[in-house]
Amino acid sequence: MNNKDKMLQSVLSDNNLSSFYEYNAEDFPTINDALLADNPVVVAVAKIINGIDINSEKSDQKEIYNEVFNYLNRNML
Amino acid sequence: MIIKEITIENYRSYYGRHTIKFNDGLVLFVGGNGDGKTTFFEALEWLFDTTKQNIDFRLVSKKKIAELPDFGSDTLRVSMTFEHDGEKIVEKSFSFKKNQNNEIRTEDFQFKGWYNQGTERVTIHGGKLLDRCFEAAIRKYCLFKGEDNLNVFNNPGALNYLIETFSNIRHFDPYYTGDDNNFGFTDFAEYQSRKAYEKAMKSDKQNSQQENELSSKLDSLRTDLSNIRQRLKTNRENASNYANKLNEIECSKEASSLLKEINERIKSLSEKKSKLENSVNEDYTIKLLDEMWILCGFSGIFKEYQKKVNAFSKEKRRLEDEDKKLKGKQEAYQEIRTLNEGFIPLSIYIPDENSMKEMIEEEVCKVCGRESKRGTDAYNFMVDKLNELLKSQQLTEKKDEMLPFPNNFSRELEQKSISLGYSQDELNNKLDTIKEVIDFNEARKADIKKIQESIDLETENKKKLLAQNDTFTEEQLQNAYENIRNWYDYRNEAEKQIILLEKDEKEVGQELENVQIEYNNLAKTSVASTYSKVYTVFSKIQNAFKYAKEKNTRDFLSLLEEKANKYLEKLNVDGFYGIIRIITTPDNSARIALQDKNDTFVTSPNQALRTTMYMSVLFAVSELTTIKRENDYPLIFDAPTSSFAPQKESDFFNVISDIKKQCIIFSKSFLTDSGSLDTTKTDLLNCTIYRMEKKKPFDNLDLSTIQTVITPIK
Repeated sequence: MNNKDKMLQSVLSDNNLSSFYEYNAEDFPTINDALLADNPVVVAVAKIINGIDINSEKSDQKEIYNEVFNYLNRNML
Repeated sequence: MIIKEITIENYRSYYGRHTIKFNDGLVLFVGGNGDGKTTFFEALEWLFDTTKQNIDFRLVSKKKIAELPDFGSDTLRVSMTFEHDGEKIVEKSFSFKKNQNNEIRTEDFQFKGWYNQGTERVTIHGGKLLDRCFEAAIRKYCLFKGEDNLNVFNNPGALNYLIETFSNIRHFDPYYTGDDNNFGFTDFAEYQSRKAYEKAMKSDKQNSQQENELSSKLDSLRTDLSNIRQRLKTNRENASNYANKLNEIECSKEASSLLKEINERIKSLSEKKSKLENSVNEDYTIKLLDEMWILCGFSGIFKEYQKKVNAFSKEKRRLEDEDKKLKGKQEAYQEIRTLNEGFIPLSIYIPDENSMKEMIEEEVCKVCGRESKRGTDAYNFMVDKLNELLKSQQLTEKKDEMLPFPNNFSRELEQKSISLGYSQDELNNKLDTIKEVIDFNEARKADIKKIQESIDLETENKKKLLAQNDTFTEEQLQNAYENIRNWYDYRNEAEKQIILLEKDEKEVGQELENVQIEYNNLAKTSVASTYSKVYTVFSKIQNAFKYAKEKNTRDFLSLLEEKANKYLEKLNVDGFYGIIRIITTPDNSARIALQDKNDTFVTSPNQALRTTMYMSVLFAVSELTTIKRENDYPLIFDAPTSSFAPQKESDFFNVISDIKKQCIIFSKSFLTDSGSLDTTKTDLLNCTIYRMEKKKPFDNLDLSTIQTVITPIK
């Protein structure tokens, strides 16, 4: 399990998030599993963790924000 | 990183070249005062300093300078060979020269490093190599001089530094900071999606007025909440600062038996006060209704109430009787009328009102099919029938209105009158109970007041005692006392503010949440519905990152605590040692404390216990460093066990030698009163030992005759 997978687990384990959007964090042990999820919120978290690099520039934020925003806009029912 | 060898050449008392070999366990240097222990430690500090070029001539061996011929030169050098993914060397040196005026000039500073790459030896800047293998963050937790400097949390930023260096918390920074001036991604996304959502809401003209009201309310609540949180942060920092200052003073006076007595008295008085406070029960408002105390003050009014209810009841019964009589008369009249006509007439509603009006207007009876011209009996019959129908309708409406008591109010009044029918005796008993309860509470409150006065008095004495210092003049003493008194006041004021602000934070936060729900509900019916959902997702993801970051810190500290307690148990074989607690404060600083198993804080652990407590935390930090960096690092201590009794020292070093960790300790333990090595004790130790001493003979008054020699003992 790499650092990004660990971070995914610690974020998805948040009770408020998992109960509100009805998913089980244990079903998504890795970023790749989460990116293939049916639940758009799980995918959004994975996209954020995967997209942002520890050394990334602040300017990258806008690009990733647009990607996640558009994804949610299309997939949130 | 494991140190394999250190060479010191011409560094202060280390005249000439000294090369020491190390193993990867405990290496003990034993020497008396002035034998060169601290000089060795400082030579390592000089080597590990990658920030500046220090070529101060005072670092050079005085003996070497004295022996140097005019215009002669030599080199000061400290080098270290170490194992860190292969063998590496760092060496720092400079040359020194004596000029015609017998002055020493230093020059040619060199800081070099070497490592092997395949079969080739690569040269690199020593500072770079050191920073790569033994970075400053790690070095900070590896070298400790003296027993007083073992506390890793000795400055306010230490906890953050430790967490940022050794936990994974830094990984969260690009995602969440919670800082308005330095957004992490989720902070940015929450802000942007909120703006997009509000923009979409504003573009929907349907709800524009409500949207305007709610969004301005949200803005105002967010500003309020942000201000409250800022003030809360400032007050928490202030409370913690003043508490730390007072705590420091208290620790410095801990030996004073007078202070101990005062503290014990304050503790005992506070416990007494707390017990009394718990026994006071002033929930009079609840008892007014639950136990009907309220009746005691209103017996006259209650009597009047009972009288009125009786009168109402009587009047109600009279009206009900009359109503029954009237209804009886009407029913009797209907029966008589039916008997007189000899047949049962059609219902009054047949034909209906409209049909009747139609027949009258057309002057035809459509029931029997004959003409009924105006003025004829048949015509008049139809008009009478219509009037009777209209009258009956009015009567029915009237009848409904005339129901004498459609509700049960009078009955409820009667029931209440019966249920509250206390006798005067019972009311008197209640009055006695009320008096007893109030007297009891007032007596306790008077006791509490007296105890509080005693606490205030003891606290004042404590402040005076804390301000005392043998070297102070009376004026200085007064100033010190004023300072302490102010710190108490500031701390108390800040703590009061914290309670109020926390309440405000909760209330405003709740209100903000409610208004946000209202705003979101408004969005459900508008074009901004999807924007609302997306914003909610980003907001909840931001919170999830925030909690994950906080949990990461908590997990790191509890792991540190767990590991430190394992070392504490090992380092204190016999006797009380307690449980280490790392207590964090709201301003993100921390302190190390000892508790017993009943959660009682050990306020003044003896120096030896304090030292083992700090060392346990250091060993724990070092273990976490090893896990985090997947590499081991040495711990180097100069005189960490000065306060230990001889037996405790032996136990301590035996335990350290069993811990699988490179520890280099400079100590004056195991020396006899005459200054020679107590070999009966050192023979029992399972570690490498070097003896450090001044080469004899030497002149007590001439530094240039001092030279340290190091001899391997075992």
